[in-house]
Amino acid sequence: MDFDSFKNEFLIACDFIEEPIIEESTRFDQIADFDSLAMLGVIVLLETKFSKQISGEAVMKLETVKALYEFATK
Amino acid sequence: MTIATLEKVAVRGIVTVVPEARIDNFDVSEENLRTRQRLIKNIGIRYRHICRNGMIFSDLAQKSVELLLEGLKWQKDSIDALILVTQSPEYLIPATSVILQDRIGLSTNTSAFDINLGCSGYTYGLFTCASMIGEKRFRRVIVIVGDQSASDGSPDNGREVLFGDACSATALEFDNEAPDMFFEGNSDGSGSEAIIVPHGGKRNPFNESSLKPMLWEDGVERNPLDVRLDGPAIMNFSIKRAPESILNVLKNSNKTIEDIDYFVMHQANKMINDTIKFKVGGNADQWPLSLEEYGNTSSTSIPMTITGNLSEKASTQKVKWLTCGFGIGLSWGTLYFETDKIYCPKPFKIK
Repeated sequence: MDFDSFKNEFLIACDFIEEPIIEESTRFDQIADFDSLAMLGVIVLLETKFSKQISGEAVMKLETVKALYEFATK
Repeated sequence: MTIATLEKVAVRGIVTVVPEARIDNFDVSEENLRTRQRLIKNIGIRYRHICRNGMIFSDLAQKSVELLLEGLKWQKDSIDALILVTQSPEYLIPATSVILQDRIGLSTNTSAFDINLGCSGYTYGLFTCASMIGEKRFRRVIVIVGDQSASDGSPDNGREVLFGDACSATALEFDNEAPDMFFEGNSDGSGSEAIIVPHGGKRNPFNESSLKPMLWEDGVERNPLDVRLDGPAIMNFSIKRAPESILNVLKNSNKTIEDIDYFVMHQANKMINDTIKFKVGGNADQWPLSLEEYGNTSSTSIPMTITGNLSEKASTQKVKWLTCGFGIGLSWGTLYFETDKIYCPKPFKIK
């Protein structure tokens, strides 16, 4: 999966009310609506599409959407 | 891991009760509506019943047993044991089940005790009670499960829209011809803080700080007598452990996904339940949800789904159920059982 496809999956998983512009370098703490529900969506995305388990703290430690993409696809 | 086989025990009836009063999760101010719509869409919960005007959980418990005995036409003195699975006791001590023995009018020859479990409680409750039944053991046992968890007006969005109050009573009876039940139980106390009420027990006794709102690390203000949920930790636990346990029980009971009529899960939230379904397999009809109408009703959510969604099927047909409860503890249990035309009315709403 390339980054653009992952970005689309990420946006669907987070189900933001106002869809933010996501770049590779976008940090989770820069996304205003990256709340607990979005976090649950990310956890489900990684489990169902990539068979990867990740905690909420680990997602935040990855810091950027690109790092999450690399974790998911490595 | 041992899978327990329980022989010669039949489920005769399941009754579920909820308070008549209910909350519509869409009932928020216009400015909060879009946020709430997003939340409801993802967790799948629209309505939650709630105890009002002095009603408490044990009132639901009493009514559920009375309705069950009435529906089955069982005499009160025929009940050997009354077991209550709850984390909403009437008092810390004595056990609420013993109080209910008297209030319901059961014989003093009735064994009664409480089990302190939440979302895994239906599977553990049925397993415990079925274990008490046998040719030289008890003949009729009632297991009550449920909690009073609904909140209204809490600033904690993590739980404010989730929980509903409910209770269920299930009747078990010795039966030489009953098909086997299969049970697997699991525990992981390292996750005990994932769902916790920090104050009020012996570790942190109630004190003046117990009622003071404080800001927790998840950014939510709550007091230490409120239940605290770590959403991501619960999500990770549920979508890993529940599918593992379900597949393990299927394998060890020599059953396939196609053999099961219904996989009735604890109704946690739609994201968790959909992910468990995705990982186990089967078709959508095998995986009923009662979340929209009742919310997460703790240990009642399995019998709530059976009575709320499948009352007619259970009343008129043989049904093979694979149930899995998972949550606070952390605790999880999976139980396979069959029913044959049982007393299973739709949920009762009581005032």
